[in-house]
Amino acid sequence: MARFILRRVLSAGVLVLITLTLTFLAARLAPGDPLNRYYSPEVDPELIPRVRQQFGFDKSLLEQYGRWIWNFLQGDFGVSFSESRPVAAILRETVPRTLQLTVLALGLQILLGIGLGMLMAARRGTRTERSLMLAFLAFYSIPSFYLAYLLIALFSLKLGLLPAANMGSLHLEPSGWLLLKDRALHMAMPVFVLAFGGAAGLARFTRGSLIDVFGEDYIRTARAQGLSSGRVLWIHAFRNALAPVLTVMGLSFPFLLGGSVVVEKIFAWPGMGALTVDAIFSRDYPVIMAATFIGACMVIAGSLLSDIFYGIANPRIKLAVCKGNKTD
Amino acid sequence: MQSIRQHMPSRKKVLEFLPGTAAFKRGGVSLIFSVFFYLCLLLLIARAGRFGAMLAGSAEGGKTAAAMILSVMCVLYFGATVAPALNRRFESRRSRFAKRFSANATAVAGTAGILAILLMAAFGPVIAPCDPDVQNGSAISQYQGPSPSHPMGTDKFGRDIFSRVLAGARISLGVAIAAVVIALSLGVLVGAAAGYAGGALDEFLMRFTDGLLAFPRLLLVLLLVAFFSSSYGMIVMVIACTSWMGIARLVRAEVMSIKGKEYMQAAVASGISRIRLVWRHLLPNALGPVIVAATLQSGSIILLESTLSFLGIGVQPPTPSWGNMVFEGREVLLSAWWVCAFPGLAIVAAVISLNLLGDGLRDAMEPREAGI
Repeated sequence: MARFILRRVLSAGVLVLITLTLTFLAARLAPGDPLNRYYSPEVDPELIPRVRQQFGFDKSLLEQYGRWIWNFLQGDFGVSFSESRPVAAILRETVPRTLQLTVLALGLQILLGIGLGMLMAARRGTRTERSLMLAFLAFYSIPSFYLAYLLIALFSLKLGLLPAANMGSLHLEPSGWLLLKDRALHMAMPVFVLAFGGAAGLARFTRGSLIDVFGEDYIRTARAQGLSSGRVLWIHAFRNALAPVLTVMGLSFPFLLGGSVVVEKIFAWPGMGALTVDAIFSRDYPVIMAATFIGACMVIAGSLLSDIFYGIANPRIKLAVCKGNKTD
Repeated sequence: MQSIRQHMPSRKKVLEFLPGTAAFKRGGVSLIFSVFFYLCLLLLIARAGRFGAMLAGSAEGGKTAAAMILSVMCVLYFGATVAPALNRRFESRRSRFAKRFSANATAVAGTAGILAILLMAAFGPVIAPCDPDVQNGSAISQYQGPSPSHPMGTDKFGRDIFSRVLAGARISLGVAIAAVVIALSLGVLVGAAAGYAGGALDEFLMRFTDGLLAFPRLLLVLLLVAFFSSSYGMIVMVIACTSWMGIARLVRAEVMSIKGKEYMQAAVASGISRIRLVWRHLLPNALGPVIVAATLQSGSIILLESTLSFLGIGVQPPTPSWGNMVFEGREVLLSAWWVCAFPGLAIVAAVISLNLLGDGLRDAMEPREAGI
């Protein structure tokens, strides 16, 4: 097991390095000078080389790249152009906020997706299953920004039940219970919008995976032994169907992060997604690069975790990898 | 008399080339094609004046739009008459596929939906009540609710939303089709190379694919479009470059499983060239799942493009795209709900249709899964 994990961690490290390089290249190959914001007609022309020197732009591209990566790996992401404070400090504020959303959404997604997927598999061929399938297809096809607007129109504007923006109300007594309730109300719509698409995909996938397992001989054996259908579903089928579901869950993390861009923008949630979009619009290179890096790291960590869980759920894979065979 | 009748084509044969005569009895997909064909004819007759102006080249962008309409009509005609006839000629696996597909109500509904949107895109200039970009600044024409003269109402600038939805269909579908074609070629190329060659090339290509797959797609697209430009070409290229990975993995898996089949060994033994082997024997057999994946992928491309436009990074206003139209309605969600409701519904309809179509194609191709 240790060797399996080590192998995966190493390849994840290589992936992180590749993403860093790609981000650097994308930023440098793009037309326009990232320092343009500092030049104006009033700036003394003699100052320009000094500004460039200050940001290290006078060195060769390779040297800049090396220095940049070195700083990056030590956690020094540079200084934001638009906020004039260290990017690391900005990220320390925004990353936890985004994680709050994504982790909750992931939880909801797992709960809804796997639960309803199992329900559909157990009720195979009934009207419940068919209507759920169609409902999920519809959910899968709604753009998240459209769903967000529909929810805002209904719950905030029409019914006035849920707040449409920000993380919490201003001027609120910081007493425990009320604060918690306020936070939860602000979070309800963003988390749901973030989770629904993935939940629909996960439910469809869980259903397919379970139905595949239902066709296996050992399920027939278990049924023939007279076990109750609930026991067969939970003990015999579920664990065997879980492995592919775990992979899909690991792969859903990039979608959650991508989705958080839209959701944070709409619900004015001051997290990393909104930060990234604003940084892209204001060409704030250090922030863009750091945000991309953190995003890629989170995604890679997600797929690493799902690989490891996969190995635990299905020991055959682990063996195959340790023997040097390919898993895919 | 007898001899003349013998030399005349039989009535049945003539009817076969009139859309619908056989299809109305058979139902299924060819019926949908026939119905849409006659619908198009009706539209053209109703708007004959405008179509004539387009053909003559006096209307704006007329010639290409007219060519588009005629080619869509040809596709419909083909689907309604020639395809079923061919199908009957070659009673084979394909015919069983068509039968299963036609028997699947949701698949047929998906086909109908996607055809309807294709028609909206092609016939947009002919049926649009107004010019999508013409503003009508007077206070009365702003934010008008749906009415006979403006079926989907008007927006902040008094522009007709129905006309803009029609124009947006051209852009969304155009981006999706172009991007999916490029992504498909890239994916097939990489996947076939990796699966067929194996070894170090396979390892390298697949690690590269996995690396790209690990990246949050929306973030990557945002980054590239924002750094470079938001022209159509750039949007299409960036979306294509982030959409081919799934197809490549699929093609690779298919190629690897086909490589071991007996007919491949027979083909190798017969001494044909490697290019011919891959082109004529390998790829056609791997095509089915790839078409399914491409269909589903084009749905998610429409979603991606609309999200980009919504965020203000994709198609730039005043060019109408479904995404940026929804964004324009954000301030008047309740008071003028039609501004963002109808473009949003168009996105949902297009994506649902593509997903239904993809699922239907897969179910028809893989009978094992069809019962599920």
